[in-house]
Amino acid sequence: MHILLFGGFLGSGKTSIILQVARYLTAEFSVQQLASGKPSLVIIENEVGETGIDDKILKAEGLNVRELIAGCICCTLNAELTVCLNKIQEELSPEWVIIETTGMAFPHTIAETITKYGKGIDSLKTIVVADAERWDDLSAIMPGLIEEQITGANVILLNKIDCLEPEQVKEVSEDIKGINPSGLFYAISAHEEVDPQIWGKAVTNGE
Amino acid sequence: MVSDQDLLKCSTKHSEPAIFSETYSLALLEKVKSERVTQALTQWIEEIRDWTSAKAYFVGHIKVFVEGQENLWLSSTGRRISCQQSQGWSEWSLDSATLCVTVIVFGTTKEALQVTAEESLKTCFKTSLPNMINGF
Repeated sequence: MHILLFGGFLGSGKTSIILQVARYLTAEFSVQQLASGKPSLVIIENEVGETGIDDKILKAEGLNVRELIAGCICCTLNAELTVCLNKIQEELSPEWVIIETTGMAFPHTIAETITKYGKGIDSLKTIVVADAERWDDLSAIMPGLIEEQITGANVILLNKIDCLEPEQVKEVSEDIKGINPSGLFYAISAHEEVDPQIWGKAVTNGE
Repeated sequence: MVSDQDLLKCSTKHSEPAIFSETYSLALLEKVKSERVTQALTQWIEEIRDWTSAKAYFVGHIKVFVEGQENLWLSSTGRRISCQQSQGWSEWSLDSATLCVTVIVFGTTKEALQVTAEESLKTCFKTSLPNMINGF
């Protein structure tokens, strides 16, 4: 299984991006369904609220979704994530698993858990979505969480750049690259259809 | 079910948010155009946004999903409101649907958020769909 672990603060646009990535994987790799009838893309959706919403949005697109709600998989639902992931591996063994974390989670903590206890994992990529529109506010109000989410990410997607002037996008981009100089960085607007070539590089390394 | 305290134990470096997360069964006395439901829910998000702004609270996110024969998805971080819908939403007339809402706000209490969110939701539906709504 190839795992794409999505993090990023509340409202940064993770679900919108996952919808586009799922469409890309489906079109590019024909992963919607294997010949066995088992889905080859499964999404694990984690939400803190007792009423799941993101899972419904993804299901409405016909995607195969497992929910872990009313808790956070980097702490209270840590064990449940491992159980869920290993069950998916045993029952479906899909080619791709996308995990959407809550906006309050630390993705690197989850990545450590998956690496340690997950079964049948071929690759794990951490993708963090940063909110360009609220970058200044979030950097001021909760710098610890935002920086820790970005640090260690394999890929950083600066989303909602349509809300900023080009000069502002440049400044935010430099801030982010200063926090994580080694991660792949892309500035996008998931409000529109993102160039599939970006998904090719960010998600599948152009394979 | 874990408590809100437990939910966000991981986030020790910042204040814990208040969470309002509910599911409602909407039952209308007769079929109405979906546009009026969109209007009511957009107004609700605007009212939550104005309340947080007036009190200097910080919005995590506001999310709404209407689930029925067609679907509507609204979301906001306290700035613009994003609206997405299934292909047939605009043409749909409905008399029932499931409404899911989640609001996450920093700086207030769960109780204050709940009172404001619930009262505002009732007001918005009564304004956009007068004498039409059951199920709250």
